[in-house]
Amino acid sequence: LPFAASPRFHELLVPDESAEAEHYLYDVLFIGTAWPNRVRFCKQLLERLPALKFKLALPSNPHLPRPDLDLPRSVYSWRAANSEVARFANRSRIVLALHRDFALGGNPGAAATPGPRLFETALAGGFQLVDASLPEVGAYYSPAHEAATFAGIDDCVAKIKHYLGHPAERLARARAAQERTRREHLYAHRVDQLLTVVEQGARRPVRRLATNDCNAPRHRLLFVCHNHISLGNFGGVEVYVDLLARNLPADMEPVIYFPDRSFPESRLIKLLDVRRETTRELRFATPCTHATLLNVEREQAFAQLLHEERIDLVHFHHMLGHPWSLPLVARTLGVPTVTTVEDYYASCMHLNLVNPARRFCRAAELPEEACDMCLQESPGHRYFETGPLSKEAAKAAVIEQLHVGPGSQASRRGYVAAAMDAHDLIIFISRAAQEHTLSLLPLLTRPERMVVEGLPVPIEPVPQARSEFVPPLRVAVPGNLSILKGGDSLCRIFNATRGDDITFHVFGRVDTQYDDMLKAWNLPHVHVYGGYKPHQACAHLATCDVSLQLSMWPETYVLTLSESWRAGVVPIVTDTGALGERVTHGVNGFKVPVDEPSAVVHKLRDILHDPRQLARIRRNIHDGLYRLLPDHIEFLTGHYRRLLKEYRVAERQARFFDEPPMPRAAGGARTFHVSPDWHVPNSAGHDGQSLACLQGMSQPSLARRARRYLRDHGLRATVRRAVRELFLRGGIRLP
Amino acid sequence: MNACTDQGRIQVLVAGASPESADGGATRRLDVVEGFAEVLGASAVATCRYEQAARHIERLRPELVFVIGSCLEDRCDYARIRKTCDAANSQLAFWLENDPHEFDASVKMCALADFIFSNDRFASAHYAHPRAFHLPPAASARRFGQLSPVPWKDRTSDVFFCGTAFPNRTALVADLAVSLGRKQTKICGTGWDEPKLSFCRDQRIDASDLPAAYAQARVVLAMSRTGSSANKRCLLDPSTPGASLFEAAMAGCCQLLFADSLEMLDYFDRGREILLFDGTSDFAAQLERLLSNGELASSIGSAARRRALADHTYAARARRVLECTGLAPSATPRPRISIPVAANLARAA
Repeated sequence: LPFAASPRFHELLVPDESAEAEHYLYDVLFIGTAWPNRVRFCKQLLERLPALKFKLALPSNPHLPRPDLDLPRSVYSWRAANSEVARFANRSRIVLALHRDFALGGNPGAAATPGPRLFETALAGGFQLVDASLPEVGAYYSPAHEAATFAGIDDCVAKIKHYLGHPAERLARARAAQERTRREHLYAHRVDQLLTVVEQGARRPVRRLATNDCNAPRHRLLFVCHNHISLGNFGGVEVYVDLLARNLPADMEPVIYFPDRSFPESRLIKLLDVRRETTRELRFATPCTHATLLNVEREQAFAQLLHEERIDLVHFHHMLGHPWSLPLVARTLGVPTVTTVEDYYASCMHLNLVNPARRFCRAAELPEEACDMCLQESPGHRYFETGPLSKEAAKAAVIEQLHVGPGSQASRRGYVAAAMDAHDLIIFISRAAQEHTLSLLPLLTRPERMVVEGLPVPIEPVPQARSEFVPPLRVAVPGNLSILKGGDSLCRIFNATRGDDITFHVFGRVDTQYDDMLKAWNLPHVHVYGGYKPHQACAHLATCDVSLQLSMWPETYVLTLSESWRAGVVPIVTDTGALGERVTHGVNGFKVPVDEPSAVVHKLRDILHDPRQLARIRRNIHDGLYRLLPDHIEFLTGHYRRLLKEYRVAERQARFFDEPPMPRAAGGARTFHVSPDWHVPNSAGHDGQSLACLQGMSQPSLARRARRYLRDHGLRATVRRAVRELFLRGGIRLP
Repeated sequence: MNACTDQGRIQVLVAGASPESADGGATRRLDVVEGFAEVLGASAVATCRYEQAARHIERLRPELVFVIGSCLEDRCDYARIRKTCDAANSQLAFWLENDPHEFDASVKMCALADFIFSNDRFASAHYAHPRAFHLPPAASARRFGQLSPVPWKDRTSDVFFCGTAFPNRTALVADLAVSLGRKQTKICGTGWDEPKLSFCRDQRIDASDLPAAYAQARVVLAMSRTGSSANKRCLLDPSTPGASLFEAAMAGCCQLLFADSLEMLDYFDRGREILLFDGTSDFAAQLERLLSNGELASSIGSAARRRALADHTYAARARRVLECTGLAPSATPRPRISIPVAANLARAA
């Protein structure tokens, strides 16, 4: 498929003969890369025709010898926009077309088919004197009527003299070549040809990619996550990803790509195949912190991984511990991508949208200064770093605190939105999550690529819910007792209901501050059971009448609400985020305002007074209020299969995988973002005093860090952590 | 300029594209305001810095928010401006004035803008946006068009150039050094620290002093620029001359332009309003001719000035913007739908 010309850039008028003298600026034009054969030829022409007005542009590159011309370099070493090359051709009496005779690596030095300039110059109305050694020129323009050819320098000199002396003949050929180009050599003609060939090809049977050892094609899926349950200290996302990986249909083979958080700054990434129980490790020399947007080393490793593991689709579950540019890397390799927005990490480093005052920040309603101030006051290392910081990271953390300048949040959101926009499918796990995210990332503008789909609960046998109310009122508090889950309100509720016929059953971890509080207050009606296995949730909850989900931030889904409903327990929830969206007040649960413990106490006493309302609410609880795993798998695999079909993954030829991907790291070119991270230095920052302070900083000793951990988390947690660290660093995975 | 119109609505709000400590674009922004004010009346136009844009849009609810300047800075949140425009029912336009050198930043506003204007014609054809237009630079009649010409013999420099020392410029000046060194030459701007060239100064001229500096020159050397900060995706070469060409013309300068693009011929008549040169000997001959014939040089300068005042003021550019956006008094209101790309291409062509 040869090159062509574009009317948009190249079509210009050929002057009448009467306007010839005024129109033309140059006698002879040549514009093209300074291949040595061209330079030699131009030099000879300049010597042989010194009286003519030449216009030469011979831009070079470091791989070429310096052009040997008796001219100042600036005269010929310049570049022009493609549209201007056409204009120069239009304003020159003769345009030379010289071939290239230069190649590296043993490739042929000269091409058979002419380059685009031949067609562009013709459409620009330039008269062309073409090197006859370009073998195919005659196939596109007639040497007798449209272009003129020359063989060697003598012939060229003679023809230049001839055509300069015969303007009518020259202009006639220029017009004829222009007309021929309009008829046959526009990109529209090439596209027609291309479509015809493709159409013919589509009728032929396609050779399918031979797959491993099975007749049905298998699809390799990569789940990018921030953690895995095998490392301990996990949350709902990790449970969900593991559940998904183990329960997808047999023709889908997921592997999970996650940082081992016992290695700070994501220096170790693991690739885990949960079905085959195999693990591969990738170690990185460069850090990846919560501030990283681009990272060339990781992008290249990711591209290599997609190729080596023959990944067909990537599902990004969480980007913590990964550069935000990874979806762009997958996209450049033609690998379809899906993301599930499981919290607000795309919108803000503070993934719960909770500010330093420990309240929902309502960022969408505030001026942009609010976000920058919030990030300054509560920098990332406090949020995410659980392990000891390296000296480098500790310095970075202090710099961050001092120097998260104005515009940092905008810088982050601008890039993250661009990366998110590259996904083929964005799954929000509730409408609330979608609304909050879009209010902060309005750059996500393709609603056709967004869907709402909740997280599933596994199908496990559920014990019979309490059919008849028998005092005391048993209230479940599922999930961790933490400030985000309404810990303050819950403690006040526990305290206020000492004298009521109510017992509370806490299923989950209790944060140290509340643990101390519960012990000090001596609350016999509060029973703490600690953590539980995900599949045991419903059985625990079924022993209760009511559950409390009192999160103070706009949760994106809340699996414990699904589990409560599934266990036949009536939920009382705060009216915010997904909780407020999923529960209909007085129909399938009750809603109370955020941070209003008195409203909860009032409702519990109301239920005690009139327990029949529990039965009434229970009658409205059904499977449609939550997602079950098989339905969710069907939904997800439906989308996976659609994308795999759209990308024609099954039709890829085996040679598709023969060649490793070119390094096309998004971070290498810094195309979408100038800085590799989203911090914008404060113009008043980085002063001598701050830097001096950093120079003097050293990492606290292990003993000091252990003392600090003991003070913050208590003895049991410290011992547990120490044992885990010892095993992890020894390469032993804990059950 | 901040008062509302009789209908109670500002028509155009001209906002900076980045914090002006970084962009230094306040002067250009005021030039644009001058243009819109001339077309629409001063009461229909308001202006603000980038930092104040969202607040001003909310308060003034203009019909058009016209953002001008460099969009390169990571910290600029155009999504917020877009949101505020939606709430105020305002149309959002950007005038990118550093194309193609900052073309990669276009991804930031392509999804947000109702209209995109690019200073460079070739770059404007590469925007993935259905309403991307070419809007060439201009000169401020207020700053450059009101100077009385300095008598030829009283001018203090034979050859003058002011601008950053980009690599192509330093190479060209080095090649012209023999000619320039024999004359009263003054070349200044960031990076002109050439120990071998005594006439070069690494010295910036304040925007307010530039018109006077031009008026003192007998001939102005005009050069395009290479050296891009964000032009890695398409590696575009510029086609449209920079703002300084229009400003020097309006200041009444006779300009000698190195011909590495011919788009300039769309703006000025070669030979009558501007001169081209292609090499060192060509430059030397033309320079000698001009310096020995002050009348000729002055007449070229005067013609260039007349042309700039007629065609290349910010008011002329403002009219073009209003036509493209459907806000011109005589224009048919443009519906807020995507126009076919082909139509836009035809317009660009």
